[in-house]
Amino acid sequence: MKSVLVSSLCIACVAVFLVTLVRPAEAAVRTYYIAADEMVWNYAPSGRDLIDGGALQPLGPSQLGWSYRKALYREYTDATFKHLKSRPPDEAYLGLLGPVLRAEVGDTIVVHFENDTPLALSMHPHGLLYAKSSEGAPYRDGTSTNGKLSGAVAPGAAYTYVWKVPERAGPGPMDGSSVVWMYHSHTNETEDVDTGPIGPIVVTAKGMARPDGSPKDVDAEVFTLFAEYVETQSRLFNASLADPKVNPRHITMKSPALDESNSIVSINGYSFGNMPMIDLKRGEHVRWYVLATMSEFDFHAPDWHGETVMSDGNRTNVIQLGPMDMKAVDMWPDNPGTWLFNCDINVHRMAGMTARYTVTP
Amino acid sequence: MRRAALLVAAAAALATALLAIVVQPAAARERTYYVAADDVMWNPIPSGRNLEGPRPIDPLPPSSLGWKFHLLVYREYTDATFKTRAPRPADQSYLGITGPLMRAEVGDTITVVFKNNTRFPVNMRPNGLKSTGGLALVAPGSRKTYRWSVPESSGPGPADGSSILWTYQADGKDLADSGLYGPIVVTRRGMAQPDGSPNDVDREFVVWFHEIDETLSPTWAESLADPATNPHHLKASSYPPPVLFNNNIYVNLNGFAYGNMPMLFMHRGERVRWYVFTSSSAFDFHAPSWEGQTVLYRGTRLDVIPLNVNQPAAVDMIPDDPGVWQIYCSVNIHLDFGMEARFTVLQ
Repeated sequence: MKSVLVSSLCIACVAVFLVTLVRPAEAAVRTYYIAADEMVWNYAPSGRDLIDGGALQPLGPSQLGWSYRKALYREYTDATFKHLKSRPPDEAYLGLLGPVLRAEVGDTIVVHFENDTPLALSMHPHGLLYAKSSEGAPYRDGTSTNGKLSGAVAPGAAYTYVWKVPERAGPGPMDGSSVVWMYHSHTNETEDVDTGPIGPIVVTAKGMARPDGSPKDVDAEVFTLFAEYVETQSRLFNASLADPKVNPRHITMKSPALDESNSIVSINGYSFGNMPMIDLKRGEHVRWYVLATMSEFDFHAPDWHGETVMSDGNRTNVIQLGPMDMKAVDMWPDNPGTWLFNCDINVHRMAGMTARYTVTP
Repeated sequence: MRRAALLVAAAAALATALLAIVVQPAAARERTYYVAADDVMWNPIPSGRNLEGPRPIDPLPPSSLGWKFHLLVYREYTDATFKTRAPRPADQSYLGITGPLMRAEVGDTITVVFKNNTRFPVNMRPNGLKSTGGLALVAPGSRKTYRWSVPESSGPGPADGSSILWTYQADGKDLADSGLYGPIVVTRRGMAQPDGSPNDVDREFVVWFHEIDETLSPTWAESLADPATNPHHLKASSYPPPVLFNNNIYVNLNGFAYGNMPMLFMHRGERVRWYVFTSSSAFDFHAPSWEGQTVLYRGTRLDVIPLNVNQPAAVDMIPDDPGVWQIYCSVNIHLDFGMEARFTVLQ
């Protein structure tokens, strides 16, 4: 009888201990200070085609150049929005992408947003759970001013978005330990995306996150956005036309072939290999998050030279991307060298949708 | 002791027999549909307004006929006399131009009694089901009976849910831009309710992401000739291609544009299955997108599903965020031209 008592006590002790061990970390509130800033963006800052080492392709008949005025999301250190949060050198390749937002399932993301552009803009997340007052998209949804405010933050104004991260915002049964979503401005969705403000959100499965939210079974994460920017559809195109620094050729709205001349294919806003190098180490577990924007030709075929990836349990080195696609694929690089990473659609590749990554031994 | 053992054995035998009856699949059913191809006049924005958002409907270009045009569609009738249309339940009014929703459990047979009420030779061909009756086009005014069997190879695969989507369509010349498409839901054997719908799902919706180029439709000449659809009396000769080609394109969801699709309703916490599909006009690449909720597609979590030409997909949603939300195509020119609708999640 006594032995029964003792053993049940032991079992109880072990159970309590186990519960303590597997109890998920406290749900975190992750706070970001993000502004939309108007800036000049250069798709090819080196002025050269860094893939073949030669000159850039000649400008289109009515192409302004390789720089345009764009609105981009940038992270600041605090609510004063005075100090940009510096981006480490190994993240320089992120280019025009906004800051990487992170959450573990169960967390809450709070974004203090300040709109420092002359356009009404918003922040709208994919995949996360939000009240109408944090949707960031104005349409006839039966809500009154609250929803509309979040959907069009006036120039100079600020807004706070609260996004929850329930199970259904995290990995599904066939996903890895993390999934990727995008956030972007949705005041006038299609024109906003051509204007520039867009960024990634990583959601890690419950219990799989490091304190910073990144998945603990992954050594390195890479973010790439395949985008065709039709600059004539940008809400800042008039500002680009009016800026002699980006429009030295004095192109006007009446110039011929304006749309075609000012459509630029890019990865993270870089063309012709101008993306700063992505550095990977042999044997690491690397997760690539691959995203696309929404133009009618935003069908892409990202191709990794030199390595293979696992995509939804299949081994490949080319994946298919459609408009607003958000994919995560895994790589274990084993082949040291500098490799091409490009869209395999011939017109995109020829127009400069090319970048490089390096695997060090 | 022996009696007790006997009793147990008898009880076990009885339970086994009962279980066998319970889990025995329902006898294969024959499901019969009376479907005609009809020529209708269609308007993607019956309200005349953009019900979706603040921005007005984009003005149509000068060489567009307008918002009304003729279109061939499949419609269901009550019987072989083809005199009375089978009324579409109110909660299916959102299906618009999409053909009648057919259902089968694996093992069933679908019989389609078809009548061609149009002036063009057309037919009906299922994707994914085994069809008898051939592919020959049915002459205007004629009938044909098709038998479509639903073997295991037409049902859900190992990584699919309890039901999948197929489509039926017409094979006649230039019919990609007509409205001659419809959905077939096939449910796994043993997973169907008597009406064929999956028994582990609370609510299903079917949305056809479609681009109609009216100038490529067989009804184009009719749309041009009819003052009701060509009120400004445009002449094809005065607007040679590609001007006309570019200016009579209507992107739509189940035939509706700019939020004019009747509202879809669902309750928070329900198991909702969305069936989405595309057809095969020139640019039927679409990216069905949901706001406010996420879906599981092939086990991965998404809120945008890239679809190729003529591709069906089934995705599952458990809505958890009450409110009015958008379902739309993320291809920017499609969204700009009104490829958007709304759904409501009730508490």
